[in-house]
Amino acid sequence: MWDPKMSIEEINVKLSFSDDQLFLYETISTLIVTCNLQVGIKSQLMKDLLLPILSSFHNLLNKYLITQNENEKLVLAKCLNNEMQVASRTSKGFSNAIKVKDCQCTEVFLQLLHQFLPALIIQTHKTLISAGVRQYLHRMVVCLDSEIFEYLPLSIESFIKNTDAKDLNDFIPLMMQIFAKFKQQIFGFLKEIFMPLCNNILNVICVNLASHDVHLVQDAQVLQKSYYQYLMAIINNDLINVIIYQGK
Amino acid sequence: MNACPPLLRSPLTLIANLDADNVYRIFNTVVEGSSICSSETQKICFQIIGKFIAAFGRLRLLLISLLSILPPSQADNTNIPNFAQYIMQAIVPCCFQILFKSDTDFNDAQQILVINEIIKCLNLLYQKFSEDFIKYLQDTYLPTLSLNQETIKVHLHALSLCLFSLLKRFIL
Repeated sequence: MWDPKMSIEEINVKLSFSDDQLFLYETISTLIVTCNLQVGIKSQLMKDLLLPILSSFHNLLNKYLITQNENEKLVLAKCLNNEMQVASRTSKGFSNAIKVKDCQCTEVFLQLLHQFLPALIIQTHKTLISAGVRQYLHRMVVCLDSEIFEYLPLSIESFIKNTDAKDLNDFIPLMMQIFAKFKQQIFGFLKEIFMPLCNNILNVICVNLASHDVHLVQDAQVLQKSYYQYLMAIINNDLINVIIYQGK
Repeated sequence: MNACPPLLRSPLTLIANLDADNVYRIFNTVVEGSSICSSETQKICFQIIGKFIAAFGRLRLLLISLLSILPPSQADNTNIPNFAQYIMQAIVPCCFQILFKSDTDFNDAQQILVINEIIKCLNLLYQKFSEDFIKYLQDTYLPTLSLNQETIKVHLHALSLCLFSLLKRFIL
């Protein structure tokens, strides 16, 4: 993991090997999950693997928020993204069949999510950061069950704040994954979040369509299509009542 | 975006605890998408409209049967609650406009899929509102297209036969 004493140049060199690093994490995680050790030991091994991310992510984020140097900010944002990718790839040892809770690792994965969400306040390199958080959430929806519910409102709220058409467009598949997995279980929560999310999407579409920038208009058109797919996904997963019962 | 229709305090809105503004805002976007977007998106929009017609119909039946506010025979004669009004005013025109548009290409597979969804919607409307639907077409909507009465009658006859056969196929 990231060492506070490393210089920006050193970090940059380290990042260039990140693909190999990700494979390594994925392999180790698969080994831990599938081996014959006791659940308690598996849990401890997974914690040893993931806990360093917790502290280093926190330090990196603080450093990002303090520094004024633009180049440094970019490298730090890449680092943050890399750490989230590492966490996502580590979760690849788990699947729909072998859940995180079977190995008693729920807590550490939720801690990581809790740590990652505040990074969404970053605006300058939002694409890098939100891609990392989104990827991690996609993985958590697969490997966790109802334990993730507690974090969903905050996650969605953080995502839709100050966001642009592209980000929203990338975010909609995550919502669709959540509908498909949890169906009726998320009725209560979706009922609350549905209208703010729709209003947000519709406002972004309106603003973009009114602009003279061709790219913004194109983004809006793509988002509009995703928006209808999002409504359709709600309906197809038996959640049409969410739309009908929009109480005051 | 289209303006929302006026809100009427119908039993439907009371029972569904419905913030009609919100629901109609969503609805208007779907209706809008069904007329201006690409064929692929239009298809999704008509699928959504179809699901809504089906769901609201269920609510109306629920209202009539569970709460017995209105006996079924009387319910058929009462004014259609405001969702039905909305369907008539917004959805029926957008279904027909595509069918009557001069640039609709019946050889384009994507557009045929859209038309398929439109027919399903019209079929659902006929199932839910039967004579009210035909009456609305005959007295209110079709005359706005400057068709003469004779043509309207022929069209409606053809339409009801077509819908009836579709319905029969659906049931059997």
